Amino acid sequence: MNKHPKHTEIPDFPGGEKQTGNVYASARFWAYAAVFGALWGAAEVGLGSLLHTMRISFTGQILTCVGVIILAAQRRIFPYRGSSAACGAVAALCKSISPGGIILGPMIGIFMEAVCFEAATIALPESRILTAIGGVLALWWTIAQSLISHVIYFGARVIELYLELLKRASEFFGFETSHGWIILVLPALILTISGIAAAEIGRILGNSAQLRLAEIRESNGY
Amino acid sequence: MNRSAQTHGSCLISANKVLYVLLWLLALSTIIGAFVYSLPWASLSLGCFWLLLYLVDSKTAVRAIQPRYLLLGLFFTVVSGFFLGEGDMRLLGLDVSSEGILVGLRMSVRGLCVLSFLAFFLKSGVPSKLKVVAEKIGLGSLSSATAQALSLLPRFREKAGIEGKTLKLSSGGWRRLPRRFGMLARDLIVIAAMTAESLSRRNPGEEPITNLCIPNENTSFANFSFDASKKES
Repeated sequence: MNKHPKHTEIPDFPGGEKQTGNVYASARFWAYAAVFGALWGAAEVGLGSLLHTMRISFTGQILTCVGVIILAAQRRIFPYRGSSAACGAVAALCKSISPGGIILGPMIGIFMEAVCFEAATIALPESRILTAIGGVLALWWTIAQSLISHVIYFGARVIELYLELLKRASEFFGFETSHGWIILVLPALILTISGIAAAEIGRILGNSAQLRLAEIRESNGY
Repeated sequence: MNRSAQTHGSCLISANKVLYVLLWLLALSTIIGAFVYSLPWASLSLGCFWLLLYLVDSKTAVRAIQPRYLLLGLFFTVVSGFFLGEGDMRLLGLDVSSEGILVGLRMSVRGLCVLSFLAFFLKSGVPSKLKVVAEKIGLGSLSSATAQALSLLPRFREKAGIEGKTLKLSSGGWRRLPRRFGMLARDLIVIAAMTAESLSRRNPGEEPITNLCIPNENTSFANFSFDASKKES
């Protein structure tokens, strides 16, 4: 027998049979989106405020890692297509109650990270590799969003400026101008590893939570 | 200006209708000016818009100008002067391009225009109307899920805080901290799953769940109580 039970092996929680068919399925889908969205929202508002107060750098990336952990754990327990995107939408809306009021950037960021994760895992919701890819995509989105928002705020010429800065930086470090991208390898690698690690931690937590739920269920005679 | 209205959040909605329309016109002019890259147009519109916004809702106007973006704008202006275009001036012994400075200025003004417009838009009352539109296009479940999530959110924060404190107080030293932290995270996931299952069995119109407890072997799924005191009894 597998160490970790698959979601298909776990019967529905007792009481679910009271409401049957699509109504129950839809209620269950949105219930998971609401609760895990609240969990992510709580982490964003609580941990986000703490990190901002402590003036810690890369707050966005740290919070995205937390988000990926929650999404991966949720995917393990409730591997239904669309659940990650719905969870992200709820978490993004929860973010609107943060002390700063409606802050569009982080709200779009949270939702898009969830969409990236969903897009990666939609084909095989329980695949370990796809979950890791989802985590990496979500982490990469933080950089993509930063670039996109700068283009919206400051115009397309900001890209020209960034490329010029990259060229000068490569000259400073003694690289050929055409090899300026080497400077970006290290941050890209850190982001990729963080995404994979967060997704894996989320999966481990999800597996552990599943076992715990099975224990509780067993002790209750279900 | 009615000061008491300002203390009640969105004074933009309660502002005089003529002022409100004027604000919208200036906001649109500002955003168009920003996107067509016309420095005089964008600057003039932005100045008028920001002044009027400050008179109507000073809090929103001040929030629109974020110091982080002001610094970024200043950085872009300076860096563009050095790196974009041909150097046609000398500053501190360095070649500076007037074309580059102009490009940087345009970028900075555009950034201010977009930020001011966004700050105004978010306070204009339009986003709350979007909720009604969302319900009309079938996203009502998202709205009710968010309402449920918002009622749960403080409980999750509280729960994480309490468990975090016990984590700090419990013995075992730093070596065991990652394991205990993992247990806390797992418990939060378990609570979330059980809460979700319980929620999906609730009838429409029932009171939202507001209390959470860490489940154990004695916790019954059928009568899963979210209130810690009820669990004890």
